[in-house]
Amino acid sequence: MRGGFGRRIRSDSEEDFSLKQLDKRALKFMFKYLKRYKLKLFIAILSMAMMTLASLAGPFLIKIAIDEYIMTGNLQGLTLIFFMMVGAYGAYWFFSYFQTYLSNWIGHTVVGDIREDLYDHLQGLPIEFYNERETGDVMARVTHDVNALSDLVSTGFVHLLSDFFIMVGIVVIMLLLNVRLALVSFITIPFIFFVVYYLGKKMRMAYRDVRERLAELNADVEQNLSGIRLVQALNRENINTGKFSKLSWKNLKANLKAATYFSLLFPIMTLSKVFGEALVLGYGGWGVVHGTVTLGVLIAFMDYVRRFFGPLADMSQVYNTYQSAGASLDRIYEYISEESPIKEPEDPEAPEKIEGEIEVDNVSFGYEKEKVIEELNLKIEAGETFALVGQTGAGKTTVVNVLTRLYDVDEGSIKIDGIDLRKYPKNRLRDIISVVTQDIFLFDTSIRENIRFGRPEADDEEVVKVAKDVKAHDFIEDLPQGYETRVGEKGVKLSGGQKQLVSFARAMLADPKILILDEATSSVDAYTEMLIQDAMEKLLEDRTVLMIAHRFATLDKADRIGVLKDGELIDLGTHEDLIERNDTYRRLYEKQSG
Amino acid sequence: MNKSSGKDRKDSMLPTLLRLGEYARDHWLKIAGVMVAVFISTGLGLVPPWLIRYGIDNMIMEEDLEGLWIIAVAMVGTALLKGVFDFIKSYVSEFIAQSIIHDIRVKLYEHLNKLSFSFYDESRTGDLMARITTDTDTLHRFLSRVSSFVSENILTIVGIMIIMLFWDYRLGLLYIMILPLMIFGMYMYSSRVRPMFRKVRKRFAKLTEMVQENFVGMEVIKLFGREERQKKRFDKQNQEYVDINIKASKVSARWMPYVHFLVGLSTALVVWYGGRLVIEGRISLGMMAGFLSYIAMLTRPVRQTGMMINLSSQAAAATERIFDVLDMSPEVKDSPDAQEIPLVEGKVEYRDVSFSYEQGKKVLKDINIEVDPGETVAVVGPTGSGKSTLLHLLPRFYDADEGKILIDGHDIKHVTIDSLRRQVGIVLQHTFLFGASIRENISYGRPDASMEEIIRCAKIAQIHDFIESLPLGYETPIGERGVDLSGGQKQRLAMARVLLTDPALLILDEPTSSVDVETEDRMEEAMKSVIEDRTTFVIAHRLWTVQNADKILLLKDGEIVERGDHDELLEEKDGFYRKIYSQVLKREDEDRGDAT
Repeated sequence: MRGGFGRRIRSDSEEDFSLKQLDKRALKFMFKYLKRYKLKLFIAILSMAMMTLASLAGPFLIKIAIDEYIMTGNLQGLTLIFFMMVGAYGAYWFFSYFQTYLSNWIGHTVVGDIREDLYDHLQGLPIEFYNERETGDVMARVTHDVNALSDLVSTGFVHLLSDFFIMVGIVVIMLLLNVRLALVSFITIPFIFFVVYYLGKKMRMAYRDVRERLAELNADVEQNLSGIRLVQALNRENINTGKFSKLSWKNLKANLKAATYFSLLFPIMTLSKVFGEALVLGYGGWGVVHGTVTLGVLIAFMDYVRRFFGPLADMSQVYNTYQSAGASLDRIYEYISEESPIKEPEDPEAPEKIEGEIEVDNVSFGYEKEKVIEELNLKIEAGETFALVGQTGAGKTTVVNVLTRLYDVDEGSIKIDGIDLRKYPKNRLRDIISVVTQDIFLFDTSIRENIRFGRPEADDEEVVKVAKDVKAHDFIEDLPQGYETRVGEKGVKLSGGQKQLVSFARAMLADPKILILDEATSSVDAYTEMLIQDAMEKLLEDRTVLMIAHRFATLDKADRIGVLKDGELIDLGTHEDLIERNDTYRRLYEKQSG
Repeated sequence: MNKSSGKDRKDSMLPTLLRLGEYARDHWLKIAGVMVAVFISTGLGLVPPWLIRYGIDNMIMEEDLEGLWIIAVAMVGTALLKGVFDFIKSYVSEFIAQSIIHDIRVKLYEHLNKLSFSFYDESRTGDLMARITTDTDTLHRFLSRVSSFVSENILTIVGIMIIMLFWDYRLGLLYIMILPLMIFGMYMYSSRVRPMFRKVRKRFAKLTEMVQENFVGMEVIKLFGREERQKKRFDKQNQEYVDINIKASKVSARWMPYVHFLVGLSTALVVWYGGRLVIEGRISLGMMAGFLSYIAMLTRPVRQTGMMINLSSQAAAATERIFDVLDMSPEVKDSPDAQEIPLVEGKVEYRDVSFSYEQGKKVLKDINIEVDPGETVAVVGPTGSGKSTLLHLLPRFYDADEGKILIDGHDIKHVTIDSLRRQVGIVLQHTFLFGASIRENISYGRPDASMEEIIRCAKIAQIHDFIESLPLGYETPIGERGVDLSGGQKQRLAMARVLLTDPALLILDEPTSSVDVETEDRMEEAMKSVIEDRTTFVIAHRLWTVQNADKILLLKDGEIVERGDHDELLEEKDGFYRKIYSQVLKREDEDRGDAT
């Protein structure tokens, strides 16, 4: 898996999401969270209504000021209006504060809740889930998609509602003030709706194109940067820059196309606003002359008409917010509805003291259709050191995967001390078994923290001790900051062998009853391996050990060796036995020492 | 919030943005055009209130209906004309912004490709990516909007002031009194709200980082059963992100509507004071209506200023990050007198070479090596003794601090990097494959290679049969969406990739650590012909690879402690080499005895 930034954007744009597609259950899922904050939501909406009222009071008060006081020369009345206006705007500020604060509070809290649950859920999913997906995709759902939901709740929803309130409010007030003038002023609205709708659609299409071009660009950057060492080693700099330049140019062109549409949108909005004002001035003025309209109404109308267009322009954006939030919700729900096949046991069972006997009973397993292990039977005694050999693809690592319950077996069962793995509480199982994996992952923290990951409560002395045990101490001490050295992203600052040693230390610190070494020392140099071999005896003491190896040097510590071929255990015995009687083993062995 | 740091930022904002000027220079004619368009469009925008005033005072009051309609049509006409200029302004500034961004982006990419390994050792891929993607995007938004918006807004504010003073000095003075309130509003927004959003972004970055690492390392988390612990950590980060968001929204909830309140307050003032003047007969009603219209126009500039400041500071930060990279000069670069290195014979000399990644911590000390053309050199030694580093100096991934390295007598510091790397092929320890087809991956170093050549190299690397067994063969994509390769298969592909470039000097850094023994054996057989006629360096732990080398260099703590061929080294009584390998040898001898 690889973290992908560009990938995410691509996958984002790949789908042409329509709100109609949204699963009802996904909505239900979100409303479940919203319901928790019903009261706050109610107050927020109430504040919004009050806020709208307060803001729409302004022009109306101006109308009264002109018609009732200025025309009649009533200074006192004018002062009263002044204070009422200040009051109305003060109220606007007050309610706006509550509305904004509460809706944001709800948005972020709900989203925080969702994110927490989503993360928890994802962590419970089997490793299979992660192997099938790109890290960038999984990540983006927890970060960006969840944030898009927050936009939906705190701005999308609230904006839509408040725009709706304002528009309805304006229409109502205008109709109340003067029906005919109001109707004339509305003439342009259908036209505007049409233009906004049409341009909006064009823009969406143009921006989808922009996103796709951007995704291509990002994917290219990502590839180039992740493989930069290779790019330089193979002299590909110029070819790659040329390619990138072309992609960037395509991106520019896509952007310019989108620019045509949005550059049109704004002038059209202005034009329709002024057109509205002109209509009010012309027709209203005619009314004033004929005595059917007062000057105050005329001036207030111009104000209302101006205010009408802001929300209208917003509306064209709101749809976008909803669409992308809908797509995000859909993606989040897809993960939420994913169930983990590896479940905690309902009636957990685990002995107090673990001996470490492993019994693989008639186990079959396959990742997809194809069987990797077939009817495998194997018994490893408590305290035994057992090695599994075989060619690449024989199924060695798969045995590790089912033994650690990263995957559950398809058929048969695996027992530790006579109890089925699936009966053990997962956490208990992790305490019993430790693995040094083939591909090593280290966290980008200090070496100390990485080792301590094996047992977080271990103190510094224990960390150093275990590092000495696995012969990692010397190289760690040689690093600039010793145990505090940060290992870099995925441990890049360490060599392959160093990473294996740290990972070995991490596993040993957990002091497991069962230790699995999957090619644990394949990248360690001969000298260090020699040292480890010497220390091995002590390390392996009192544990059941399963070694996976394609190097034979490590095998002489093994009590018994199993030969795996095409998912079947074809032979079992000591090194001497196997050399005697097993052709596959002998061939593997001779090749190596030849 | 740290006040002083906020101030520093503001101080450094201007020079950074000015540096962008270099990129804008090519577009000066278009920029001038945009400026003219902005000027005209803003001017036209100021016309309607004037027309309203005129319409009310001279037409409605005078009952001149015909004139009134002319005024109305004139209003629409100005708006139309303004629309044309708005379009030009918006489209052309987008064009300029896009062109500049394109230039910067390509330059950045080109530059990143030149930066040395030492730079990449210290950088995070995600961070660098963000500079090419997110940061340039931020800059784009700044370029396409800020400059034209700012001038538009300033012109509007000043324009209204002039008109007011021209109409009536008292109204003009009232307007001038209102302005400080507006500026205060902008100030509040930028000093209170902006820093909060910066904090929000920082928290989000932290959260993202954590999520990424947890997901990449999920297997380890699961194997050690650390889910609970990681969840707790995540919950804490998550809660902190929620908290900072709520805090930020509290601040913005308080100061965002303030702008509207201010505009409302100004309107009230105009109604009150203007109404008074109308009653006293000093100004006309039309003038007051026009003034109210102008005041309404202020909402946008005031509100946008907050946004502009926000965007500008983001853009300044983004620009700084971009220039940071552009200013970084590659540690390894062509010297001024660099010449192409002629076809390499393969003689390699290291003379008194020392090297350190960090000051004071020498990784290589006084290395002297002499290798004849065609020889195979094995480099062995404990983990961390400097084996990879030693060989990374040869293609100049890093430059030696002291001493020099000669290939065929040419100091590699005096040849062009390009020509050097064309002849030095290296299989790196960490195998990286691109998300492309197998064919494209193998031919990555030589995109023009023919299919026959590709297949030939794949055969030597013992990967051809496997590739052929895939349904799509050589066209099979690699990566998440394609075939899953084992570590050994990846290494073999990497080997084929380098072989295809047919380098005169070959460096193999643990080329087969994940390849199974049987395959390795076949590979070695096939490699013989490749290695024979060129100088080859191999880092290997396994004896069987080392044994056949012409020279073995034993590295310990950055020094060559022993050298010679296998037999010579075994003869050294207290030799380190002997110590390591005698055991292995002994066991192998015994085993061989058993087996036969």
